[in-house]
Amino acid sequence: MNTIFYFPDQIPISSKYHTYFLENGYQLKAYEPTNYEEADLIFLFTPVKCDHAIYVAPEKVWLRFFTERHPAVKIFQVGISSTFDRPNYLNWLRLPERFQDLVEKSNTLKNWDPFSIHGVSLEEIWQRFWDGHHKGGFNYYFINAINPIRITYQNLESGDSAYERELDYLEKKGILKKLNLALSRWQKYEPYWRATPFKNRMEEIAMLLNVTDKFVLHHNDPLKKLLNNIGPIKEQLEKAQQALEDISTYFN
Amino acid sequence: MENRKVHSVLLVDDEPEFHVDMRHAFTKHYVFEGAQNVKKMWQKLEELVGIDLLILDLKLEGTEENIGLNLIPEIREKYPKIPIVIATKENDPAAVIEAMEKGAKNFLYKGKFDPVSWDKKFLEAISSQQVRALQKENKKLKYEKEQLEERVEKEKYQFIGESDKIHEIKDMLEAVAQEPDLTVLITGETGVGKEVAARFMHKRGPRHNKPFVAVNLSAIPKTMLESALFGHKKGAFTDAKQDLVGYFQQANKGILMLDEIGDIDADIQIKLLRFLEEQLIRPLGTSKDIPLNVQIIAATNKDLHQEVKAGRFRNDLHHRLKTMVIEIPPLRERQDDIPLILEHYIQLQFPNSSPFDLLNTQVIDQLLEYDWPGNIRELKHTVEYMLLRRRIFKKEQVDWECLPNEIREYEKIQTDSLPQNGKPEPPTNLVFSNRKEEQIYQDLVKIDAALRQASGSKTQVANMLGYKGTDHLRSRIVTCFKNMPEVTKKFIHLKKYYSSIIVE
Repeated sequence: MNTIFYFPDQIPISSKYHTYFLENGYQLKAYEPTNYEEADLIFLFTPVKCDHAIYVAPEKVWLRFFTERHPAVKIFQVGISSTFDRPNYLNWLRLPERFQDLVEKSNTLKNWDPFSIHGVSLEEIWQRFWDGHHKGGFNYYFINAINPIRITYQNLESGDSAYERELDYLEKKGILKKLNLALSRWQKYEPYWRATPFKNRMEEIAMLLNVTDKFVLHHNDPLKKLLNNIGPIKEQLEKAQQALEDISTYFN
Repeated sequence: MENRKVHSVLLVDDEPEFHVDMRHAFTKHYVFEGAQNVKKMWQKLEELVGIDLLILDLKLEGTEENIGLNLIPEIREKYPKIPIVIATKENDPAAVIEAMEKGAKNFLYKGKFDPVSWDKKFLEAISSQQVRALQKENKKLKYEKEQLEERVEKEKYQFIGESDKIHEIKDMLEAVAQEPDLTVLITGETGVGKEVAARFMHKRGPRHNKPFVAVNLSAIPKTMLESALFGHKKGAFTDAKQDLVGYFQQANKGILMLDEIGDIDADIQIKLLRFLEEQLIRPLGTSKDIPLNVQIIAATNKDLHQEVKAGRFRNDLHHRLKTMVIEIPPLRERQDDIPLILEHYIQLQFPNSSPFDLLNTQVIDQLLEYDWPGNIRELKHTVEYMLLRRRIFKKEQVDWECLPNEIREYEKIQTDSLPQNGKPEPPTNLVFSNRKEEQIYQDLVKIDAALRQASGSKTQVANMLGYKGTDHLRSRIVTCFKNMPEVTKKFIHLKKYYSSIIVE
């Protein structure tokens, strides 16, 4: 039995569709980011509606991700329009008599050219999140928070600097403000990342960033809290940075 | 770590935050100067001395262009001693590769500030630049050494001259050089350049990439000569503590120049003749002949024909040597070449100067007038002497005072002894009956004046006047006395120093 993962995973699928695909040799399953390798086909119901009532077009991010991670899979864009007559498009309201015919005519990932049905591309949203407008992006705040933390950590570790000097440095750098701004940028854009095939990775990043939020920023003396725990905090933020770097390639 | 040198860094970046971070992170081992735009960077580069490292952000002036990339070649050209490390905001491998190709030493990804690894990168960049500077210095020194060697080579072995005689000799040497098995005899007064001629042949002949060994036979003690030439086995004689490879073997497949061949003893003459006949030598203390392939160029300032007649030189060896005789003329017979040779030796010390820059005209005239009995060697030493005196006396040009005595005196000889037409003026009661008598009188004038100048040193006089040794000089005086005894008696110094010949 072949497997079809559909996305968004919470989309309601009636039993008639399950029956149809079972008769055609496929089982329909909600997309699982940890088991994506089980998929023979992926149905992307696009555009994807996010929490802000904004529709996004995530196809190219999915294409990049699966080309790298599971290139044998075929992705179908699924919609309700009858105007699109092209390979890898499935009209959900007019399923073919023999689904296999459609699969055979469809393109592999290598030849798949996704088209935008509607919505803002996920890459564009990522760009806004990452770079912002003139130093207003997540990356600016994040780097200007994590780099002083690295410097302070190394200075204290090597014994080249005094505690007070580092405290003064972090304060002058406005480290708490920058951390806060980075986190708020993240929180603002987080819903969009649910349209990605790696939303589990995004959740991990959120957790790493939120540790700083809960552990430091809500403390009554956050700067000292940060300085006193600079080793583990640096480690958490570096893991987040690495994860962000890893997934950023799918947006570009 | 504690004793580390503090390096100065120019940080070029338009983000003030980065300047603050860099200073804070590296304050212990680096002193920072900052520039936030390109104009300021050039200004700082011009003003500051001793920048050890330049850290250059690729994105400057608030643009998204990698304008730093275009600056790298210009900085490298103007400030080649300052290593460049680039800083990039994005992890952009293409820009990094391009920057490295343009001469950057390393790169920093600003997104991941890493004090430990960055410190290593800075030190590597600085030390690699120092290594590069040392390599460059080495290269420069090597070049200078080569230039010096070339100069020395040029000085030693250049056959300078454009006179007809020299052209003739050069043509002959070129032709003879193509005969790698021909034994050659080069004759000429001392200092005319016999070794130069031999080396000229070596360079142009088929043996040019094989050894050239020059031996001055008269400089080796007679008791050591056989061993020095043919070698010996350990224990061959009392002082033979180890095997010695002689000059013949050292010159195998190449050329052996035997200078002062007219001075060797009869037993060496026999061994040399044997070699010339059979190409075999036998080192002392051995019983086995060694076959060798050596071309012999012999040289002498003696008249070998006379030496044979006097019984000091073997006739058969003389015959063997005179197959090809090349005579190098004395300098006084090619006076047209004096300016060229003078210029050559001056330019060895002052490559961009001509004789007219460094010598005043009176000195030049005198040098051209002088008859150079010591030939080119004397001229070379004279140039060195004059230039040294010029330096000691802090003179702009070599003047009369810088000339060696004998050359200054030479004018006196001329003015004292010669009338305006340059010929010796005979005493009023003396009339020359033929050209030969006139020549004898001229020679006597010169010898007497030279004896006075050299305080009676016969060797010096012989050298000054170009005689082939004191015997040759003596023989000339005897001839003069035989032909014109009354005239010869009139010369005071001749009478004083050659009283046994000139009898009252």
